[in-house]
Amino acid sequence: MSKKFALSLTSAALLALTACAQGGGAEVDAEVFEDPTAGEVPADSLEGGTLTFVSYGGGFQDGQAEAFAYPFGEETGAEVLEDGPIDDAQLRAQVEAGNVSWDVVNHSPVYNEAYCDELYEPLNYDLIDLSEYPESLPFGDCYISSLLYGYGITYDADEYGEDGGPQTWEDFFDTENYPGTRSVNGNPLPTGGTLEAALLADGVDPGDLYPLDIDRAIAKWEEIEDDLTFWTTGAEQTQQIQGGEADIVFGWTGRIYEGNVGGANFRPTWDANFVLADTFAIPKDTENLEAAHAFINYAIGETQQTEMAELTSYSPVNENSDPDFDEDLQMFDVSAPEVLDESIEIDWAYWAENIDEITEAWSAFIN
Amino acid sequence: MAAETVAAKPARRSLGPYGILVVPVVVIVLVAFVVPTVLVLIRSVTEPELGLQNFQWLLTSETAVDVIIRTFQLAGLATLLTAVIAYPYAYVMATAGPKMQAAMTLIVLLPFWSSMMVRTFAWIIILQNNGVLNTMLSSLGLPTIQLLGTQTAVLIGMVQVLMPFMVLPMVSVMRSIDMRIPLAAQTFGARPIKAFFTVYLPMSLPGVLSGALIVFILSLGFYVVPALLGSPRQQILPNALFNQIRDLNNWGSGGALAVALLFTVGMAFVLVYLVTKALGLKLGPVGGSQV
Repeated sequence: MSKKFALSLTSAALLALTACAQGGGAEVDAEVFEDPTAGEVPADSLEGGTLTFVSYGGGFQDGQAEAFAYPFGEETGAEVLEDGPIDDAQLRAQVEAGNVSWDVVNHSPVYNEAYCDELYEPLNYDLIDLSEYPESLPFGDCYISSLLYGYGITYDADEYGEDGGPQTWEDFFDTENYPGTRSVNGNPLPTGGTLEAALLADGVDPGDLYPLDIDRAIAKWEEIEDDLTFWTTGAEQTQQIQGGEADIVFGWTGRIYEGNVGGANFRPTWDANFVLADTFAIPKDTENLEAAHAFINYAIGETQQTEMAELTSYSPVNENSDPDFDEDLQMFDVSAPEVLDESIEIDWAYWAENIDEITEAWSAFIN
Repeated sequence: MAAETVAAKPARRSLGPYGILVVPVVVIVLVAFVVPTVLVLIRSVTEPELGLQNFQWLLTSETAVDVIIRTFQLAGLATLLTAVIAYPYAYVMATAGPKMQAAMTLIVLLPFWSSMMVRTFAWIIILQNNGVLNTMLSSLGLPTIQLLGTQTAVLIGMVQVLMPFMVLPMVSVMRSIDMRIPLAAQTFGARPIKAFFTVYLPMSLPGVLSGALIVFILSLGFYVVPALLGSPRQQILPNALFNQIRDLNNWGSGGALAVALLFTVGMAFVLVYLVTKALGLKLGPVGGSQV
């Protein structure tokens, strides 16, 4: 290998490296994104740029990519890359190193709220059209909902009968009339709603939930400690209902539906259910701030949300979307108005502010 | 750690012109291990602010203390179980003919060669409530047992993959034992059992100790097996550490847990060193380095 050739090879490699480090910071005319309409984006407006979308991975992320990430790339000319799973520790490392390679993430409100302006950019709502976005859905300074699912009681219909399972939070904590193993969230920071459920069962009025009486909630959980088993991931919920590890799961509807597809027969109950949302958020210091807003605005459009729902089985966040769900899935659709209206809203700001206290109490309980 | 560093002190030798060959290894260790470890140490005393609050949390939080004690117990139990199961196997292997020995090596290494995820998920399928094992039990009219999500399941999953780390150092020490020595004890009137316990066992102890050392240290670092086969109720250090950093963004307390883990491993080394020294033993090869 000649010296000259080696030299050119090295400089080419260096060039490629700098190109990588700069990411997709292509010059864009930010003005074209003003006055947005949900689901639309000016054609060829991001020619030559790149945008990285990060979600939870698996078939779920594939569905999101097909519904809005790739179409967004085709319309704008941007190269859309994917990464996953979303991980705040990794994002924090990127932000601290000043080299943020993620542009839009699909995450969860409590984290976006807790690290708003620290790991996540406050959203510019002039660049996102919320006219078709139901008002009751969670959104905050740094996030809007990306999809909906239920977090509540699901029970084995083969065991309790079609309508014979626990229907309310009182029933869930009533192990005499509804014997059986209950599987609940075993993460140190449980899903929002976990403590609320115990307080509701203990007779707290939905209007008086916040600030949460954490000790009272834990005491209620301790009453049924011997009938509990734990899940820590969505996949584990699916595995547990298929493997016969639990008769009742306080879990995520999307994962229970997956278990049903795999042969289980679990039913949700809407009197004891929280409608939860995944979120869209933009990592702090991304170089593609305007493009990331345009991406979110595009993703919450009617057709995009319909397609996302049909591909992932999660419910849409656009009120005009009407996905074609089959009967088994219809059962789990939380975007139906009768479900949405019944659902008790979770105070994400409270959760975000009290992350440490809740974590300490819940980890002590499960340990 | 090679055997020589603990026991015999070899004469100092200059590396000569080939010394340059160690540079890549040193660089990798520095960049991939020393630097991140130091960063973690620093974070454990600087986040969220300068001070020892993370270590105070570590020593006063009931949850953290429980996790540390449980980690020790689990590692100790896994080491003991592995040793008890591995010893007779290693004995047969060390005294068998070459063909048998090759076959036995293969058998003990098979789980080690298979993917960690596949192996662990296979255990889920076997151990879950309506899994292979319980289906078999109930078809025989026996009561079913809850295994998945218990410490027993975690131990089963761990011992299976830890076996080669125990068997191989044992075998390499046992093979160097002159079988005429226990035979001589019998010639002098010792019954076979007595000859085994007073002559053979002590001679094979260095292999057991080095196997136990590596198995104990590896046990402290298990993550996937407890996460999938155990329950969050029996959380151990690596899982707690992961939770602190990944789910809770508490790099400070995560760092403190990492320091605790590192400290524990260091203590294990020191302990084994002291024991071997006190017994006047030479440690066998650690980590099956003879393979």
